[in-house]
Amino acid sequence: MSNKGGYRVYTTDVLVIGVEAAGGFAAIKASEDEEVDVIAITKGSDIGRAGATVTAQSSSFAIECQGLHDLLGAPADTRDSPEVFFEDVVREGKNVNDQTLVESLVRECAPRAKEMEDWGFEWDKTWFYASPGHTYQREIYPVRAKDVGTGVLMCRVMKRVLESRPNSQILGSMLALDLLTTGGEIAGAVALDLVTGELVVFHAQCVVIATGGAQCLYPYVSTGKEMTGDGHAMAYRAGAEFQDMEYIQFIPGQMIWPPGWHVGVMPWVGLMHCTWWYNGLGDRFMRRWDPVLIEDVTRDMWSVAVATEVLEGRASEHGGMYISLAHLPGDVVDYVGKSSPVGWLNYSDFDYKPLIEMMKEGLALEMANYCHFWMGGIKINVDGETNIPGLYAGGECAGGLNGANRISGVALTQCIVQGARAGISAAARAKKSPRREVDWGQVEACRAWVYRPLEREEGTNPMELRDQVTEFAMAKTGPVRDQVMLEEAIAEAERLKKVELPHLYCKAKNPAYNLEWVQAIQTMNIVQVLELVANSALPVENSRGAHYRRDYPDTDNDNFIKNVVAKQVDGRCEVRFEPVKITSITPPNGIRPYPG
Amino acid sequence: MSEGEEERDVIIAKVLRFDPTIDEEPHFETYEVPKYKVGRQTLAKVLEYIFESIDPSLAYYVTCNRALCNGCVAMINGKAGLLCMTETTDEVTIEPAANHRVIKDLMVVPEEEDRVQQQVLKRSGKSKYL
Repeated sequence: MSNKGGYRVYTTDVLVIGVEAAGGFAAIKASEDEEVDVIAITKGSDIGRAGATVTAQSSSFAIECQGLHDLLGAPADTRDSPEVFFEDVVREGKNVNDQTLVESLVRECAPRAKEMEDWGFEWDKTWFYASPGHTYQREIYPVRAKDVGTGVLMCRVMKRVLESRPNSQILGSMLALDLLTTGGEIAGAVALDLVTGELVVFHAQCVVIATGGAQCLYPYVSTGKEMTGDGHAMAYRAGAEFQDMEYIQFIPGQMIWPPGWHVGVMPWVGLMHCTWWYNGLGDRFMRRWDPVLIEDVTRDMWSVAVATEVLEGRASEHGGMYISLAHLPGDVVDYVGKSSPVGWLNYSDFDYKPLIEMMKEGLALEMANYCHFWMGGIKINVDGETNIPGLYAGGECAGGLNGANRISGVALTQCIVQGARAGISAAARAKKSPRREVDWGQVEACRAWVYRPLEREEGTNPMELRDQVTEFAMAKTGPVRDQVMLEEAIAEAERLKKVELPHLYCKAKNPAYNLEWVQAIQTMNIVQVLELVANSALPVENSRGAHYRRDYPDTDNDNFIKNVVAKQVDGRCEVRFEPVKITSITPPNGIRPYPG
Repeated sequence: MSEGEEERDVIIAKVLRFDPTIDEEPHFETYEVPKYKVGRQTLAKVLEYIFESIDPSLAYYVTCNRALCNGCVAMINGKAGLLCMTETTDEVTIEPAANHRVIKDLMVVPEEEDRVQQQVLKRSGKSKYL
């Protein structure tokens, strides 16, 4: 560590931004080479204290069963194979997946899982699960997943490994702000040390972005409230390419009434499946979407149905849909709740009994769509490389693997496979490429935009603007879109950038641990993500997976088996189509009604 | 503070504030926060209201909001608890977690971080660059 130009400067070979599943894996793999120094930073106070991985609670890893059997010695169903897993991911991704990335996922998931076991991660080899989309029971959990949480267990193991390495260090409370490039190559990054309120410069040959999704572009999320697309935004500003940013997974499971139950994922078993859903007119609207299955449809269609009701003015009092158990006698409710393996009466540490009692009295609760997962992201190749030499990405912030829809269990598997790839590639490059000098003009430019809200004496309140942006994003780029909405979203992102963001202002002026300032910076980042999403979604004139266009409701395999690539050029978001990378499965033809 | 049978519509929250860059000593600030008529009003929600609507200089740490990360541990009416899971009482006192170094207000150095920092310092001599 040194000081230059008034900045604290850390010099390292590889900088990893985000230290949960993907970033932690990247840092571990990069630091396997003792000659490579690795610094991993997180805006959480420590590894395992922020990020989407931590909220991967009773989550599984999808690992193909032959690997589970051969490498982990698990009694898994060996009718499964990398090939079958591959088919599942591509079919459920609606054929727009980058098949080179899928290939890497299905081949490398088991070796990575074995590696985790070697670090002390305990797999529960007694049972396996198959969520919808998986042909075989290939989802595996760690021991104590239900008590501690899969993601937390993983973070603990990774923390231990990283701490044991003399050439790696974790720095918490560091909010990464901007990438530094010199001659078109990575020279490092600038971050805000939240504790002191100072800008810190990381002088690094390679940077791995592992910051997860940008859930907080939307009002309700299944993650923590810090998933604000910081990695997306800094990569976008630096000229990185993005792939398929229109595919964002929503689930209608956010309780918005009664208040205070904003805890994301509600258990989708037991009593939840007994609920009847009504819109604001008292109509059991799911009958119009599927008269046979009614509320038992897949959750992508369910989220589209709920969003459509809201858009067409039939929302419940607080902007969602009513869910009711009034059709069931109270003793049936009690019996179903008790007999369900993961009942609805207790979930994690939550006690849902007060809610169940309300419902037994005949009252309805209100649910809305929450943002769950980002299929699109920074465009990478199989080694995690982006279009900027020295910049790598892996995990949820990287696009292409999941196509238009992700199946359960692949999120964490994606993190371990892509995190490892990015870490290995970055370390290899760091050893052979010269270190680029830092362009101090870029550091000063970063300081200028970051400090502006602190310097202003009046202007826009960051929390109010954040709420306006997220509500707008939900209305125009949520589960249901059309041309008019997307054009409005593009215009609004432009307006926000020109008119609102320059006027953001913080009442709290002390830079040290200033959360209002953090909110201001994060709000600037989500606006950049909104710009990416709206521009990527507009030209995709068909409905596929998590992208539903009410003006083009069919899945068009003749014209839209392709990927949207977006990039900032001269301050504007430019998009182009690219053919899907195919290795072994030829996509189908024809135009079919959604969901295809 | 009893007002007979009448339901109170505000929560009186006493929060220990301390900004080491300005303050000599920690001090309590008292805030009035609207009380939910129905629902689950956790201390995370109470603090969020104070931060967003009364005083944005308040520092606290809540992320996962479901008792997974344990980042929001604090002293609640004198006992250690998680801000994200503890429902508020009509009068509540919130202080930073005991035996932790305070960064600002309720934000503390995570339990194990001191150990981590020690290791960082120890190993920094071995690093090529530090």
